[in-house]
Amino acid sequence: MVILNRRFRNFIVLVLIIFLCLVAITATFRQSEIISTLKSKTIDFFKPIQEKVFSLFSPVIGFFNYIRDYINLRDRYLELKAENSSLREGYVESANLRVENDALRKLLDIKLRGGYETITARVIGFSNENWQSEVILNVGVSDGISQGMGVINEDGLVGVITRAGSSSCNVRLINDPQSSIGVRVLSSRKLGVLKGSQGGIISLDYIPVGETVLKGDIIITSEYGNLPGEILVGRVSKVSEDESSLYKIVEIEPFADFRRLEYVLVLKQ
Amino acid sequence: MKSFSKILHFFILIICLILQVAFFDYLDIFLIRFDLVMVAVIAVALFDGTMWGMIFGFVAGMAIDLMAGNIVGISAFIYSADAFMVRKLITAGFKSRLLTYIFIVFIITEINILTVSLIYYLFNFSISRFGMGLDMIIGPLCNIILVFVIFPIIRIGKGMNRETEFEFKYKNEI
Repeated sequence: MVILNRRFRNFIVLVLIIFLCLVAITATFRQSEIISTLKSKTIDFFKPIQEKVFSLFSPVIGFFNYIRDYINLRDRYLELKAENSSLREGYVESANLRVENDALRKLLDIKLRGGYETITARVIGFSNENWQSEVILNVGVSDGISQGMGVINEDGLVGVITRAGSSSCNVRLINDPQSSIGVRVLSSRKLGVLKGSQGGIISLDYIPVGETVLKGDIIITSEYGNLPGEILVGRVSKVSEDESSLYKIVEIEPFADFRRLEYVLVLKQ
Repeated sequence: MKSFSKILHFFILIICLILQVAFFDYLDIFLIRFDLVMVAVIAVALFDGTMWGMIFGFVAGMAIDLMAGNIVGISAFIYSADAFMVRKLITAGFKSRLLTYIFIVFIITEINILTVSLIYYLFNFSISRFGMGLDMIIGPLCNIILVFVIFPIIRIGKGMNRETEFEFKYKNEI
């Protein structure tokens, strides 16, 4: 009888939990205010200890990064060598273009885009699974952060703030399956949409089959999206075509290394 | 004493949760992923009983979803279901206790990967079969390594000997 009761009790608890989970999942998809508030409160609650733990384990994370870098060293060296020679060629051309561009700007009286106001933030948490790539930062609404702001580091675009708590916030990285950002191909100025996917592969969507996109092309943010334009995003790593599709399959290698994120800048718009 | 051990286990679970978010998720080298919280929930379900495993799993899962989750409620459901499954799996009755632990963690990790993939697929996410396949090979191995760390900690917190370790059928078979 006792065993039967215990089994029955466990079953009741499971049913109750499933019900609560279904409510939470539904609320998430309905973008309920309660879930947003709860998320902010939870992150703020764990922030102090999380920050300490993250600082404590930073050297260990660094050590593992060194191992990873060491293993990839030769490939990276060859890649950089090739990039260096192509950059050297481009430099001469770009110097000439800059002179020409400055002259034209003066002529047309066009003002250069100003530097963006930024907020420095530290990464205090990370969530990297097949289905999501997010980081938690130690700045929030009290520091002037709000939802939709872009996050960059010295290499380029990192992600977009999806939720801002009072003293912390969540950043959806550009390789997250739910990430979708308006971008341009720098050389051809063609517009596309940058999308993350399961497994962290980033793709450039809506580039018609007829358009020319080459491996190595630089991708920057488009001025038509929520983010400021011309922020470096990444470089085209693979271009292919599918006979059944009207669009090219373009894969992007981001400039930012998400596993090395420590300090980032939030673009205050 | 009983409630003290449960409070202690809850704190161990919270520590695992913080370590998972602030450290283990950062260690993504060659697709190696540790699920510290899942192993801790299994240990709690084994040593404190299914009901506490489910409750702790729900709380830890909710906290993870609220801290860094796309869909709130999925981890809570998965971890609670893990605790519930422990009761079914314990009847496998391997002679060695360690083998039973390893078997449970292996099976539950595989079920988790399949369930999460299925749920996300139903929510219209694209699935990479290759990524999922690799996860199904590497994931259980990583979590089995954690058994050797988490289980002794939870057992020390419980302060029990092996004869009273399980409250299910397995108890009589040791």
